[in-house]
Amino acid sequence: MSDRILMKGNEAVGEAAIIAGCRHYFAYPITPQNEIPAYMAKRLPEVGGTFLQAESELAAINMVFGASAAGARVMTSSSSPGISLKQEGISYIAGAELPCVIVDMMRGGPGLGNIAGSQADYFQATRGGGNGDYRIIVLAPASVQELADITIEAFDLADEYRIPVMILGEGYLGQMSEPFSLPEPSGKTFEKPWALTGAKGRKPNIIASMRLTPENLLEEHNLKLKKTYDKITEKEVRYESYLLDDADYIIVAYGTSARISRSAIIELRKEGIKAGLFRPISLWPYPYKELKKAASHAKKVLTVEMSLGQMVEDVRLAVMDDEKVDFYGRTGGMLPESGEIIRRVRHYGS
Amino acid sequence: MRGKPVIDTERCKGCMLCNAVCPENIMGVGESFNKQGLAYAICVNEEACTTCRSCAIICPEAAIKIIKYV
Amino acid sequence: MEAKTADFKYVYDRPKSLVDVPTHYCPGCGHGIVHKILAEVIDELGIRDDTIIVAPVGCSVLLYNYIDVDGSEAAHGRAPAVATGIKRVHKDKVVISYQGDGDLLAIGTAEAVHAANRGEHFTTIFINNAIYGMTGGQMAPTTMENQITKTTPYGRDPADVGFPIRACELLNTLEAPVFIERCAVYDVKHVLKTKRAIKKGLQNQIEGKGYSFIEVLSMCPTNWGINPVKSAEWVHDVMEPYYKLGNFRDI
Repeated sequence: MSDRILMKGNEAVGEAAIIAGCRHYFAYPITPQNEIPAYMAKRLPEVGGTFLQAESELAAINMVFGASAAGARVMTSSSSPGISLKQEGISYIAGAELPCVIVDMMRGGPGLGNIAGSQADYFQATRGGGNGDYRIIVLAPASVQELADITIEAFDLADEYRIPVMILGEGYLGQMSEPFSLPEPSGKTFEKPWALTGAKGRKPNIIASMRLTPENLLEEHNLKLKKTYDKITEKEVRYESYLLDDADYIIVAYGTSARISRSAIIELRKEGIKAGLFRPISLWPYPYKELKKAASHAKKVLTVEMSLGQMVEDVRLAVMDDEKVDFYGRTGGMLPESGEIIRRVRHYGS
Repeated sequence: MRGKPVIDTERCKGCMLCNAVCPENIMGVGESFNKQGLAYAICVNEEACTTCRSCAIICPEAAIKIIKYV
Repeated sequence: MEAKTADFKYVYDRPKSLVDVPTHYCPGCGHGIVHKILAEVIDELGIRDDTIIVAPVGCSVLLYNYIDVDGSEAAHGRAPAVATGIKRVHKDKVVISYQGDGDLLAIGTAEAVHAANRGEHFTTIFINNAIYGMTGGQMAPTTMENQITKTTPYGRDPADVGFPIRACELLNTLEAPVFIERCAVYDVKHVLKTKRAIKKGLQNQIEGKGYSFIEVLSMCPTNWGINPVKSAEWVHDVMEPYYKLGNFRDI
């Protein structure tokens, strides 16, 4: 492991992408993730890569489509409103079975909203804002170290399953500087016989999501995609548990909300209240089974989010017990307060 | 006879652009129909064909080849 | 008349890079002509193994089924962005974005202008047939004044929906493009000129000169509601006076 360095989350994801072999990056400026394009504009030319500021997020995701279709490891990054503009492109990329990495540093919404961190795009990320039956892998880091490590994994997952992988952070994670160690490349390589490289000595490759005839051609294609999604659901769930084994009260939270929940749990434990944290890292595929098991012996499951409540629906799906599931959230870019979490959990016990 | 157009009657869609551009005015619409139910083009007077290739160049279906006798 | 000697040679044959299948295009559609001469140019330049085409959304969405080279789909209007991504990865390949008037001048105006402005090293073939074909004849940005379409049933009224856009002149204000030409395919002379322009556009790319743009005035008999031969005349009589043919830039 290389020694520790101090970097903003936005820059760490850029460097990690380069370590992962990403040599093509297309993006458009939007707060709070501007350091990513700025960093890539400086670093990519140093490693013989391509940095291009597109005319819009929408153009950028279609440049990603092209570079990926050409067989390259490629990334884009944006924040909430920009990610909305990319949704059609993401649907095409998923439909054409193309790998790519999309970084989303969420900010307050809806609409222009504000530039504070938020988690109000959970639905957009995990349920897909584009058209059609498709999924993308969504990974939610909670520290600069994890953000860097997850970036390496994201490129491998994208190539392995030929699927877009979204790294979902909040503006806070992007703006925060923390000491961390640069990850090592995974060393994995992936053949891409399907890529567009010029049909020398082979039949032409075609990269497309359209399937017109025969009538059920698209259904067959979607069922093929589903096989991939089922395999990912089975193999690629990631989560962290903290003091869960004996927990009477479980807090379910990801990203920045999980960091705040952790400090609340430490306080509660000092008061002898057995609270624990279930932190999903893969938001799709969601850890339903694991959360169900963990929640089985808990009295109460409190979901903490920076939204009006979106992941809480997945928590309900996992726990299947309305009485047990509670929700506390702040919206519009506000941070949940550990004091409020502590007050609620204390109340459960009284 | 210098040569003539060879028309793929199944590919022809009967647009008659070849008729419009033929300098010798020897491309016309035939009496019979292809599988698509379209009256395909024919060369009405191959003797007069100068193998200038106009019909083949304008054809949107690449349905016309031109042969030249050697 | 006894049969002539059996030996002859083809002085005009199907280009090898044109897949030998029937096309879905309507009788007299200009796409078929442009596909054919594009395939001829690919054969003549010997670049079948190095060419990657990007198809638009529109009548030519199935372009990659007809040209025997690697092909990519693009979302409506985004072919220049997809082509940018491909060309940035494969600097040594010949990349072509083939687009219609809705694709390039309506939904994809930004991508078209900015790819040209960046001087991306690919070649755009822009088919201007003054209407939306695939969706059944709606107004396009290039629909002529007073032209009747499904969405201009009383004729296009510039006071309501503006004037037809001239793509070559628009892009000619940009510094980076090295080649901008407007052609047509309504008769043999113009088809040959179009072929020459396409060949130049691809040679510019092979020589690494920069971005080339070729606009082709083309026929859409079905949606214009007139027969193919009249459609060719309409391009000459009505479109050509407004969309001046010729070269705007050749660096």
